[in-house]
Amino acid sequence: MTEPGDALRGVLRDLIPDYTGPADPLPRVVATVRRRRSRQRALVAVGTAGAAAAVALTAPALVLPGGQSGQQAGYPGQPAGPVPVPSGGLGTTPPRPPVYQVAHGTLGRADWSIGSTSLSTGAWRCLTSADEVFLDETACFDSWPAGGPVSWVARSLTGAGIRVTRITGVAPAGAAEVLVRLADGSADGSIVRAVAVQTPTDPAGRFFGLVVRGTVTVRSVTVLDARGSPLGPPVTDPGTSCRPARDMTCAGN
Amino acid sequence: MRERPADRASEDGFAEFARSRWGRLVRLAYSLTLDLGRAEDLVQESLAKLWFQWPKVRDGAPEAYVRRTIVNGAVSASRRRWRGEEPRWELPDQPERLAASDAVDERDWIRRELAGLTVLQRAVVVLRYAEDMSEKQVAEVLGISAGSVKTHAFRGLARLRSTVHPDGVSRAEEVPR
Repeated sequence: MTEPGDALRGVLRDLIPDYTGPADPLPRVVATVRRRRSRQRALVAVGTAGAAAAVALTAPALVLPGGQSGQQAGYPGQPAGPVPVPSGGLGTTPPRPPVYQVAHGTLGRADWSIGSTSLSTGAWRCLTSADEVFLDETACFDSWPAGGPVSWVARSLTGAGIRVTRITGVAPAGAAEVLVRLADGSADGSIVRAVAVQTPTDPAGRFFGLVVRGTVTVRSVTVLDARGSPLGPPVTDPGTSCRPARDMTCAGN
Repeated sequence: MRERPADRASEDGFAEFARSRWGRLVRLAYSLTLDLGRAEDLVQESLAKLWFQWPKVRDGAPEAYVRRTIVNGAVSASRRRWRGEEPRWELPDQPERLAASDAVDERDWIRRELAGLTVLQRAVVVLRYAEDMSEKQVAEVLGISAGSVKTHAFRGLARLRSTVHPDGVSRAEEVPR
């Protein structure tokens, strides 16, 4: 068979020479990713629908007041209310498992939010993003022993075009606040605070989350009780966490 | 802890990859579907699939992966009995026979002839001659034998060749219809 001429090749290679496409195609792709992830979650949630329904029934219909970046909503020891499903991309898909607000704030012009949720029997003690900034950024602390030392994870991300470090974790009951010491070049480092919140996701734990600008290293996390007294020594190493649907180490995936 | 594609969208080049390849991929998808809306949807879906595989393929051949996804998606969609819509390349009020002239865009004729090919013929022709893949590569992408690739390429090319002169001028009057 002889080869086609250059003319035919040229036309075949570009049948739509005037095509310009969307100014930025990425949001379309991201929306599809969100739909796919929602479908995955919905499938996972089928197995735990009963448990999720029970949790939802016990959750107060209260959305706690918000805070600023790095500040947390809610009050120590009080359950948080469900966070509405973020708009856009999820409207036609099955609802996500209940997400209970743990912290939120602003980043640039965007609002970020971190909530606790149970995604499956193998990923039930999770902190997830409930916003349009971090796109399903989730960390599950299922291996954390109830009552054990604080377990935390810090991840460097880009949200709303801003480089940040997102810190989430779970602390033992009795925790009211956590002090996160960041490496800033000084001897002592700087400290940011996050409120520890109880949610129906795990009444035995107190969740916390915060977002700080820049790529920073966490030197330690210290848990304080309601009187401001430390609950155990500072924890310098991140704990064990996993990412559902991505890490095989997440049991139940 | 394994990183997630959501992070990689901004951190590891996925966003740049998607933006820079979008137009090229839509052109490939269009040559297979002959419908711009479906082509964009196909690319959108294929890039989303790539997103989930990004950690695995980003250092390899992500474009080959997404192109394969597009081709398979186009072929699979065409095999479905019901497609909701069945957009085809059809010009409204198409005359029975257009006289050959420079005013007639040869692309229109190529599109029309491509629409007359089976999806496999179309895919083979596009991959073989627009994407410059070898017969073996085309066979691998489509999951058919190299012999089938030759057959599809021969039949598809024969039809298209009758549409376009080597100098690129359409000769619509010679196209059997």
